[in-house]
Amino acid sequence: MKLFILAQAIFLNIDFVVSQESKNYHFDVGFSGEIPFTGQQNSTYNFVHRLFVNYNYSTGESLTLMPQLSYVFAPYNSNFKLTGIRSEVGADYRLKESIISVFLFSGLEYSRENYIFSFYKSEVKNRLDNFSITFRFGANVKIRNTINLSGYIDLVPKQRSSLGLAFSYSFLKK
Amino acid sequence: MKKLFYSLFLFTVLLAFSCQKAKVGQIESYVGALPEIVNSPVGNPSSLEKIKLGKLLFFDKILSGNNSISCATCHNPAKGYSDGLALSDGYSLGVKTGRNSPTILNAAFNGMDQYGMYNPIDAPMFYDNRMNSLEEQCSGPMLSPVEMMGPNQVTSDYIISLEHKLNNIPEYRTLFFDVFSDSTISLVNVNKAIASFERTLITSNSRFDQFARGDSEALNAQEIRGFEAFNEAKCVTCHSGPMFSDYKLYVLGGKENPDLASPDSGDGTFAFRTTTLRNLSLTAPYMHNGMYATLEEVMDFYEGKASENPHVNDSELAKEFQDLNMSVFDQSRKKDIIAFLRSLDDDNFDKTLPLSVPSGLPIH
Repeated sequence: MKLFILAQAIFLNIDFVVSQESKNYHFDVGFSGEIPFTGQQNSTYNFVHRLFVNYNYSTGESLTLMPQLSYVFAPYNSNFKLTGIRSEVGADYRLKESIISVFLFSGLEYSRENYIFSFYKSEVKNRLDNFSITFRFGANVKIRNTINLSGYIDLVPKQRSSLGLAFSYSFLKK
Repeated sequence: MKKLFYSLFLFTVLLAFSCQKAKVGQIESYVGALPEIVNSPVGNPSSLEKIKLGKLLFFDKILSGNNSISCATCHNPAKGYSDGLALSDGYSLGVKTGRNSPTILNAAFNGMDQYGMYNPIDAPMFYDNRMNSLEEQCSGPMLSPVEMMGPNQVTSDYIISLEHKLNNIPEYRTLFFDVFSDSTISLVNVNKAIASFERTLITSNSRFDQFARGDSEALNAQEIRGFEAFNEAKCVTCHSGPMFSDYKLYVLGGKENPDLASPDSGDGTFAFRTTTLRNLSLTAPYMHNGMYATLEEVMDFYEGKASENPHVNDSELAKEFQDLNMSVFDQSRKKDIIAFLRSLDDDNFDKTLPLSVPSGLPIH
């Protein structure tokens, strides 16, 4: 199912548009779905999401520097709830006259996993706290002037490694 | 533009749907901590003297036809009251029993449901549930031609001769009189004494038990994740209740043991009972015929979800076996589940041997 969803997203018949000249700086907001495939949290979560905001600062025609702040969450497990924040900085390099760019991010993530287990006579609630560095790299496609689709691999050592897909919307200066 | 937003909407719906599908289903089966007190049946109340007598009988080879085997031969305290063999040694050299020796630890709780309720009179015994209660079970190995009784015996005659052997030992006559107010020793009272001893062999304070009683620090992160994966994989469907067994019979199609002269069909349909998951570190090898040496091998078998037994077709496999959620069975989750299973170990049980037994026979 996980692979199907990724494939579905990739092969959706989307109208791509040619890239347009970027502005000097702007904000992006976005949403991602990540599918862990290894690491401790892989035992617990089938999907992890992030809501993020980027600050894009273009240093030239191709290179963009992007500090990013994310809210991480995984709400679907009835026993475990993951929430966390992530702060990253990254760079995006747009290939010449292309709608495709590649990016690399690194940063820090603090996550908290609240769990609850019901037993026949009792209930146990507690939490696991995690603090880790992060690495993320992938490719970005500019679908429209304001809409981007990214595919990436997200590495949070020991916690999880994930395949991710993100949509973002750019607030461009008029 | 419309097409783009239609596509995005479709993707969002698909993603949300897939996430809902991925959500852990509500598990109907509960597990929990074992009780710290054992119920005895009305007809066999426990007492300190009876437990002591039962322990002497348990270790006394006088209960076998050729005075070579005691209960402890196959249920060795040093091996978690199991014997570490795929098939246990039988009555004479080279003779094997038909099955792996199950641990006696916590057998007093056999039949416990997911709410911790059980009736010691109805407690199912053996891998095929063919007997009920510890009292009834004791006679099984004692009167088995390949186990303690030996071949070429008429059972009724053998019982008389066994009781006669015991009645000829003055110390046993005194002990039986003290416990049962009857110095004539009967097999029924032998069974009651041994069952009383077996009810002292409980391990109800594993780290999982501590966790389930509210000590959330008792399990580490890997074990907690393993417990979650254990639930998500639906292992808990059958391995439920404080004993991690529903005590039902299932056809799994595990490997046949090649040392057996004929296939073991269990209850006749190749169905065997869900075994407890407690104290697994002490009780390898696994399954009714000991054909799986490690927990990793057992997990691989469950991952395969296919019969490994030439006498069992895949179509005959239990629905619960086929319904296991294999998508969580990657290597890291298997390791986590095994880490969790080991948190069910508790080696705080009576491992002491009596210094001697009334028959004077060697204990080892």
